[in-house]
Amino acid sequence: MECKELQKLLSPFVDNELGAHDAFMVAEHLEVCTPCHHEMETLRCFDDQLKTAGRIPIKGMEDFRLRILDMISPWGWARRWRGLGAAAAVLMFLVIGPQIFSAPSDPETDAFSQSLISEVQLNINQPFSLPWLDPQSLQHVLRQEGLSEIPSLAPAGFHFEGGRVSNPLSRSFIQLVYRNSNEEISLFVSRRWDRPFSGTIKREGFTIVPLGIRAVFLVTKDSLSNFVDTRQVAEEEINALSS
Amino acid sequence: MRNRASFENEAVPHLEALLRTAVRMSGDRARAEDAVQETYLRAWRSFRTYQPETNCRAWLFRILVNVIKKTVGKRRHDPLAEAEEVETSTKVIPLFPNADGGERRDIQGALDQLTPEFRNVLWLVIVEGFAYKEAAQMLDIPIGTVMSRLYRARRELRRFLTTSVSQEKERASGHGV
Repeated sequence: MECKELQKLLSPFVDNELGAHDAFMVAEHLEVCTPCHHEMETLRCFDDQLKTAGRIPIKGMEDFRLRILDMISPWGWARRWRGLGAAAAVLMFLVIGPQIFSAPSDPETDAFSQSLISEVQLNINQPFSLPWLDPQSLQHVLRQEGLSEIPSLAPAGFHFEGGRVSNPLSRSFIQLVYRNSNEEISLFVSRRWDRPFSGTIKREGFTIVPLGIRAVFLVTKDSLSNFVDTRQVAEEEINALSS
Repeated sequence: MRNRASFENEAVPHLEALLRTAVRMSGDRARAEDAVQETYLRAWRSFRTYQPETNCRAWLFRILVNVIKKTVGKRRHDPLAEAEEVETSTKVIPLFPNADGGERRDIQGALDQLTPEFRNVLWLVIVEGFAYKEAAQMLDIPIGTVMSRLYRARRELRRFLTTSVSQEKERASGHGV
C-alpha cells in the first residue's frame, strides 16, 4: 500500500470503520512507515482535543432537566413546588415532627406498622411464598373491602403486578403490589382495620402512609424518588374508587 | 410496559449531549433548548412504540436532527439539502465561509468556522461517537458522503489551526506587523 493511498483510509481507520481487510492493510503499513504512523497519531490527538473541547459541561442543565421532566409529567406542578414543599416539610417537621415520628403512637400501631413491613419484606425476599389472587377473585375481594376496581398507579409510573391476601397482625388485608423498573410499592387495603393512624411512619428503610380516611396504607421504600407524585396519585385513585 | 419511569431512565440521561449538539447545530442556546424540548416531547409521545433493545441515544439524535432541519427550513432554505445539491453537482462547498484570517485559533472557534454540513458530521462522529452508519441515517445522507466530509473536515480543520498558529507566531516574532 502506498502512502498516498493510505491517507484517505486513515480517517475511517481511527474511527474503527474499515473492513477487516483494509484495516489489516493499513495496520501493516503503519508498522513500517514512520511518517504515516505519525500522521495517524496526530489524527488521534486532534480527535481527542476536539472531544475535550466539545464536551465542556453546559451551564444551567439542572433547571433545563427539570423543565423537560415537567413537560412529560402529569404531576409537573409537584416538581415545580418541590423546593417550596421541601422547605414547608422541614418547617412542619420541626413543629410537629416529634409528635408524628418520635411518638410511638401506641403499641398496637407500632406492632401493626412492623407487621406491614414484614409482609412487604416477605414479598421482596420470597416473592412466590404467597399465592397471587386470580383477577376475578381479586375484583371480588376488593369490592368487599370497599374498592370498585384495582387502583391504577400508572400516572405515577408504577404498573400493577398482582394482588394477594396477607395477614399483618392476623388481620386479613389485600396487598396490591406495584412495580416500576427498579422500585416496588404496596397498597394494603382492609375495611376491618379499625385503628387508622395518622401521619407518616418511617421504619427499617420503609415509609408507611395512610391514604385518606379509609384503611388503605401505602408502603414504600424510603429511597422512592417520586414519593410525592406516587402518594398523590394513590390518594386520588383510592378516593375515586371508594364506594 | 414503556412508562414515564423508563423514559426518565433511558431518555433523560442523554439530555446534555442533545443540548450540546443542538447548540452546535442551531448556533443559538435559546433555539437549541426549543429544539431539545420538541425532541423530548416527540420522543415521549412515541415512546410506547420504542423498542427497548434499540439505541435510545441514536433514536433521540435522529429526532433532534429532524427537528432542527425543520426549524432551520422554516427560517431559510435547508442548508443540508442545499449542500447536498452543491456536492452532487461537483462544486466545492466552502469549508470556512466566515474565516477571518485566523483570529480565532482555538479548536472551538475553528469548528464554528466550518460550514454546517462538515461541522455536523465531525460533531456526530468524533465528539458524540456515532458510527458512520448512524450519522448517515441522522443526516439523511449516504455513508460515502459521511466519509468524504469527515476526511475533508479533519484535513481542513487541522490546516486552519496550523495556519492560524503559524500566523500568530509570525505576529509574535515581529513579522507582518
